[in-house]
Amino acid sequence: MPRQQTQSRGPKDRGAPRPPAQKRQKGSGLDALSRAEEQIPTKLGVRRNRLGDYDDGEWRKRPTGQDDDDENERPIYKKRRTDASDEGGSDSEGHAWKLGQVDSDDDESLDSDEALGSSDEERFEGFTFRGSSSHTSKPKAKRADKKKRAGINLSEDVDGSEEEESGEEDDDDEDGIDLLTAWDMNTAAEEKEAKKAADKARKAANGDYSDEDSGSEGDSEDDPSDDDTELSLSDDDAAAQKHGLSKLQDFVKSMESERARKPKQKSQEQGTPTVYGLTSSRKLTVADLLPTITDSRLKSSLKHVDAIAQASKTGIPGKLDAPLAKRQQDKLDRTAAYEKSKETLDRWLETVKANRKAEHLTFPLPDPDAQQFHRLDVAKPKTDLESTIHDILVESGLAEANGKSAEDQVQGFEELQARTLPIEEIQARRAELRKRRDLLFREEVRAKRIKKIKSKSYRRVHRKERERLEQRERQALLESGVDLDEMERDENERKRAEARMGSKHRDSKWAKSNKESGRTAWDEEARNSAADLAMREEELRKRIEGKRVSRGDEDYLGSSSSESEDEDPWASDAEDREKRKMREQLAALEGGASDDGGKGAHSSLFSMKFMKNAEAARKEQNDAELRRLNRELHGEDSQSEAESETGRRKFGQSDKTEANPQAKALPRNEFEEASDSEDETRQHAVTDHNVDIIVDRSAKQNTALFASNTTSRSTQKMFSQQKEPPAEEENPWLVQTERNNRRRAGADAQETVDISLDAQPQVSQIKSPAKEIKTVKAVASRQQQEENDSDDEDSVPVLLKNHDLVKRAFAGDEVVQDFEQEKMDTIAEEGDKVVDNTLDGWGSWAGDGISNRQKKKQKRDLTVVEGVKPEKRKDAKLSRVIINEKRIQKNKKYLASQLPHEFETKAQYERSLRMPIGPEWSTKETYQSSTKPRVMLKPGIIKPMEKPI
Amino acid sequence: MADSASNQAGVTAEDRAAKQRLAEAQKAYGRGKANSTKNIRDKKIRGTLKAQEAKHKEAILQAKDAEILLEHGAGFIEPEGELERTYKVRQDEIKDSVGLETAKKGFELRLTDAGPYRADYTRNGRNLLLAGRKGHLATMDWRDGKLGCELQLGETIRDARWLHNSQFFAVAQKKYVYIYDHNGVELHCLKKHLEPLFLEFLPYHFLLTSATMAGFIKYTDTSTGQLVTELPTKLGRPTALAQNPHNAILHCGHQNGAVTLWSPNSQTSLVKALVHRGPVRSMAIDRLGRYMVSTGQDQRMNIWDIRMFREVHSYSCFQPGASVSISDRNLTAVGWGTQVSVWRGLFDAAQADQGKVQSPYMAWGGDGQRIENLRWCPYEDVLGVGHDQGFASLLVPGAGEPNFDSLEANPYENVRQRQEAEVHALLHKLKPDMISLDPNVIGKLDTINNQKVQESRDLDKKPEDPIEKLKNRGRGRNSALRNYIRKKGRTNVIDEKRLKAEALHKERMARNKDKLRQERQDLGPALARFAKKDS
Repeated sequence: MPRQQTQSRGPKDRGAPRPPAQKRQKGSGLDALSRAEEQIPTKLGVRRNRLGDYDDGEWRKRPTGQDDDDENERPIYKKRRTDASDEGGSDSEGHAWKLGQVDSDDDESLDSDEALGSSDEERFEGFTFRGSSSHTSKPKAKRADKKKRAGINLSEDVDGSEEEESGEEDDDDEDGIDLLTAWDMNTAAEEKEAKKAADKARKAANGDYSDEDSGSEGDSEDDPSDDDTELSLSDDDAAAQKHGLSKLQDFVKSMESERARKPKQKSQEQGTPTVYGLTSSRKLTVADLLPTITDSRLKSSLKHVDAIAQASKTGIPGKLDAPLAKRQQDKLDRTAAYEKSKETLDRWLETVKANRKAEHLTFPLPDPDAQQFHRLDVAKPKTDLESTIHDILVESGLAEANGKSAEDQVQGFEELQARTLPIEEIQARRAELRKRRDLLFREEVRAKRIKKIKSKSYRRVHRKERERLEQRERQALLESGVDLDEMERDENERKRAEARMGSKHRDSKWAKSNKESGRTAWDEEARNSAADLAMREEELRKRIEGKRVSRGDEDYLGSSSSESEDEDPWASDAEDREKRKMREQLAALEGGASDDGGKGAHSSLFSMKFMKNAEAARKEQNDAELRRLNRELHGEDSQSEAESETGRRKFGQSDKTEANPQAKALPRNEFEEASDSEDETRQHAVTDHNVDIIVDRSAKQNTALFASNTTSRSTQKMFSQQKEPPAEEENPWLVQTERNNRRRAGADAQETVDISLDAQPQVSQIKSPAKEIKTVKAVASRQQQEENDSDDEDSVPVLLKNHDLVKRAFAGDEVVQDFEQEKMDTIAEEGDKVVDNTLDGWGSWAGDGISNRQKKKQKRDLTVVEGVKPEKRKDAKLSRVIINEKRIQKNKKYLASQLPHEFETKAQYERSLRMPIGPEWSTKETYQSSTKPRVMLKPGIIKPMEKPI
Repeated sequence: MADSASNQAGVTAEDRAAKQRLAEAQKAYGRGKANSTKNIRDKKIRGTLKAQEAKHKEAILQAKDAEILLEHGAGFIEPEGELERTYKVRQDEIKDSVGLETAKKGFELRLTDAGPYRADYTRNGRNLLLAGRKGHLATMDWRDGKLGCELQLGETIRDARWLHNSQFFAVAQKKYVYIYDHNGVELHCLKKHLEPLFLEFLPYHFLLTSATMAGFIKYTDTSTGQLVTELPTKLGRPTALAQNPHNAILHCGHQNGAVTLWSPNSQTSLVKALVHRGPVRSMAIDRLGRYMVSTGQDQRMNIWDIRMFREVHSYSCFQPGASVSISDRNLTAVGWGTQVSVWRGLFDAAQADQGKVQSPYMAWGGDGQRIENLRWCPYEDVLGVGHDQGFASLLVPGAGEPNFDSLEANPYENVRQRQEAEVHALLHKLKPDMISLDPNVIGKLDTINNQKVQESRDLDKKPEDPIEKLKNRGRGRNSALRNYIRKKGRTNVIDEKRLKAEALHKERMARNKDKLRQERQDLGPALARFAKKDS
């Protein structure tokens, strides 16, 4: 068991081994009084109040010869004493003892001189323990025995040693409390000690031997603890010794003076121990025996004795409360000790955290005390140059002649002022300042609290206010020409776009109400906005599909930028596209308008005659408007059509062609799609008319339309020819604008075409629209179109300009077809693949004589190896591009195979890499700060931190 | 209240300035969006990311502040009235109106004998390399007019390029590529580059690339001399070659109007785009790697956005553009026929989704000199034009980057600085493996799924035998085998591997002994002691 203990103790403890069992025995049993003392709260309270501010002198009077450090252990031993009171004939540690007999072994191990190390001996030269063998060997031995016996006597019930055993162990654990805890316990123990010391001092001063028994009890109670604590001092608290050395020396000095009284006390202790464990000098009173009496009759008869005893003992109750169960007590103690140690360690918490968080640490750590501010002297000009510069500065009023800045002067003046003031005033001022600061702090706290309890509505109001302010600020910024929150705006737009994308917009209240009320039918505004909405939606859809969209109102001239990949890449006439778009819009408008008519909640209303009439009139008007627009567009169209030399589609009817030969054949650009959409519009128109109430069948209208078209075309042409700038030829740079030149060329072309295409059979004219519709339906399968183109190219009569020549020159290469084919192949190659794993004869017959039917019967074992889906390819929307989807193996090793620790998302990680570190990309300062090591070691001694920062 | 309001106003004014500064800095140096730390639950990562973002912010603000060091501004010729056209301004007018030193930078060299000339400037713009088709080769410090070396190779020269500095240059001759030093001494003959047509040099990777007549693109590492890869284009004789300075991808133009993109890491082209209807004549890519300008035999000049691979604009020329080049400040020079036109703001227009640029910025030529090659001089407002009558250096105001970064390229470097830069460049050399379409790929997260990984793993691969590897490596006292036995064989585990290794070792020892004895015998009794123990 002792070995166990030594093991459980810290290494420090092992230096001077001591038998705790004996120690315990020694201290055992004398706890009655101490416990009583502890448990009288009133008395303690008084004492504490009185002795709250004891000074050294007071507690030096204490005769027990304890020193500061000893007190650390004191509470523990008090506890131990309580435990010991239960002790029976044998210790849990295997040491057995007999009543009334001195065990020499025990004595020896008790020897505190031995417990003291040699170094300690030097230190405590003048000082001896009362019980040490060198001082009074014989009395000590007796005393020890006495105590033992007392402990046994006082034990009220000799019960199970099991519990004790465990308690013992706990106790010893307690012994191993580390230094910090012990320090922290210091103050608490000190208080108690002080109280007791004061108690004794008072008693001594009074010379009150009347209640000597109690006094002696107190003594005897104190004594073992003294010894124990001194023992612990000798081994346990080697470190603490150093700390408390000065105090100890003081104390030793004070001891010297008190020596005189000591022998007297000791003499009391010299006596043979009685059965009750008291020395003869300590008289056993009745009161002492009272608590052990169980007989109620006897008790009542002895009441008066009890009363006397109580009076003499100043409030110690006759019967002590049963001590807490050892286990519970230990638990409480441990908790307290833990709290204490935790508190001590918690002081370091901030420091540790700060150091952990710190970006850079420098060792040796900078001494916080060493941070003294040296006021820098004002630089005195040393060289000639400096002095000249200084002179100049002084002259210009940027520096003062005496080398002090204005601020310095102010400060100096203040200091001077302060010097003249009396010290009280300064103090008062400081107090005032402090008070203010305090108040401010309180205000802050209050504000925080208020902030916490502010209501929702309050916040709402304030938020609105804030928003308003922000808005105003933004406005101001905008006015000042700064566009800061472009990103924000982007975000807003994005959000709106998303909203529009989702069903939120479409199914909004407004849209629904429109639909239900059929408001769009009669309310122009509502219709317009509905159309607008539809348009936007369309646009958005296109954007999502990856097409580029340019609004009708943002028209630009002369750019032949390709609008989207899906359109014919080789058609370079932007104008056509523009027109087509406009036409589409018109068509949409038409479609929308016609759609509204029949539906809605009020359809019955609309079916009434007058409404129909009104509607029809309106419709007609609108149609007329649309027609006019269409006509204009067509007119322009013919203009652009005329530009190109290839003829593909022919419109108009034979009689019309005769009437107006120009309109007969509309030569088209070979790569143009415009006519598709044109047809589309016409289709739309047709469907419109179908729905229309006033039915004017398409044929007639179409002819009329064409008639008007042709006329307008001719006028337009004339107009455009008039418009053509004659100086164009001079400017070679306008070649790239190309449109004008082309137009001119087109005009020429038109004339020639007119001549050549006169005799075109009418069949083609009928055929072509059908074909066009088909192509529209097949969503511009370009292959086919290309073929059409090449077909149509045969009919091209004249080649005109360089560009067209070039176009022709490379037309036969079939480059595009090849490219398409290659792309298809690539898609197939990189896409899903079906692998046939069927083995011949596996699960069926194989070999000669197997009929085809049987062969077919055999189950095929097919597996699909997944590849890149055609629609998921990067080039899915790029018709002229093939992007390799294969993984480049060599780049793989530069990729992170998994998300590095602590990052949560890919974006987080990748964005964290966006700042390059090298000096080429950042300023020197940034570079240095980003490459500074986290821990820097400077030569020198690295000491541990002495205290938390 | 009023006080607080005024206070607020003051704060907002200040705030506004700070905000503006930050926004500008963000735009110029921000490198994309910041990591948002709002939604991160984990405290620690939030802390680190916040710290990082703060650092980043600090860095960009400092970078913005450091702009004060960019002392030179840039500008263009601006017309005063609507009727004035900048392309009407002639070279002599410019020379008259600029300073004497600047005017000296515009000059013409008449070299009528050796056919159309190709030109190339070094990366710092200090030296000029002229290569005539008929074998004439000259290098010069063109500002001082000092001739470096002049050679007559007596062989067709198809292309010539400076390597990493002015000390070496590569010439694509009739049969092979040759490397010469600044004195004109032939240093290397790269016989692997058979019948080269075009040369390109990737300065950060030290890769010399050539497109050969047979349709191969070949990469040679000029620092080690090794041939890195040969890539078959399979599209016949290439018609143009250009590099993307942003990501070191090579663009190769072909007869069928296609442009293919190549990196040395892939045997197939990364991207194939049909850009022209006829053969591609020339290509150029802007400094940021955003746009490609190409000219083709179809008399078109197409502008492609090579981030999205879509055509942005298409311009037409009177004649097929023979050469295109893009300056640091995005002026695009196109040589077509005998003329050169310089376009300004092509990419801005494309970016802003505007219409095409209506007229060029500058023009030159029309004197019957067929343009062969155009090169912008870095850090100068100078355009070098190689034509069949020699070479012309044109002044194009606003073309060059006004502020140079001496860590990158120093036009005023001395010998020591050049040497220093060379060493630095070699230390910072990038591996060919790092070339990819997205240069930021390094360090990115690999998002391939596990299934693909498993698929790509070769299950039939034999496990590597360590002994086999050791067999033929390192002889002598500290051979790899001995090392292996010493390190691994000490344990008491006797297994097959160890037995094998020991047997091998024994065999080797015996062989050595035999050899030694043989040698001793050969040397005779007197000289036997000089026999070499290990060999």
